[in-house]
Amino acid sequence: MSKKVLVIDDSPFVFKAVSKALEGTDWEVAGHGLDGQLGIEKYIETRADVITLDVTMPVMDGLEAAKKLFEINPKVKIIMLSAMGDETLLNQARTIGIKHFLTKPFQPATLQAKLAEAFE
Amino acid sequence: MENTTEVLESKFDTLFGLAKRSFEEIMLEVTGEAIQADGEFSIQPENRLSLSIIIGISGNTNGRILLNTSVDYGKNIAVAMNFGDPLENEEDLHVYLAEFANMFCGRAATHINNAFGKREIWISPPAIFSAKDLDIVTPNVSSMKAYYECSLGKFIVDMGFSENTYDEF
Repeated sequence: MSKKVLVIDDSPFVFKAVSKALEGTDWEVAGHGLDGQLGIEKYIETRADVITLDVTMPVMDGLEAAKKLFEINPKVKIIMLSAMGDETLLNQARTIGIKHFLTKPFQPATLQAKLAEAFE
Repeated sequence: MENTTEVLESKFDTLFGLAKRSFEEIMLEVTGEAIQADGEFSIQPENRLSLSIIIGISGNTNGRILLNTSVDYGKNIAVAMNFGDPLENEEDLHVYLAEFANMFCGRAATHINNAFGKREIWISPPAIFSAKDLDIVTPNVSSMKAYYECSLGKFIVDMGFSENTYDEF
């Protein structure tokens, strides 16, 4: 049975890239939220096993979305997938409870390894 | 005490150095090709459209990062981002290039914020322009340029800064 990943990112490119990177694996892209709010709605709908979450997005940014996702499910598995990765931001994310980080751009093997790490 | 202008010039040099390093890192990670800034040239492709991507910088330092290339060279970047496969849809080009600029400027913001030990800058979503005889002018900023030529084409990174003066208000 496929494991499900939800992509929350305002860039359609990232959705395409994640989908392409997971072709032929046991991961299936369950959906795409174009901002934090839509991403939360998609999570409630799909209950994906792992979420890739961007930081800078319209309507609701990734850190705010992560707080709400942890309220919905304290065990939710989130990979912060962002072009930004400075220490101030990473510390904010760790404080919220995010444990997994991947910086853009990514290679398919790196994403697959990070998903496996988050899923365990 | 150092002249304020000298302090700012030194700071802008540091910011520009970190931005150049970021562009080189992202190009290496996306295309697999190590590049270095060299020389000076203009990009005025005959019968081809120029392409400029602008990302705004806000924070303690204001400004913008401008990446100048041509549409054809931009397509080469997009194919590399698509893990070497041609784009399924030509209209996706701007989506790919916007994300490329976002990755480059996000990396620059990361290095700059880490170097300054605080949230020195934040970046805004990219805007992309393509046209013939395109000139983009940004008055009131100190501008520095780096020129890159590699197997994918020619690229000019143009970074302009001005110190935030909001405390004057």
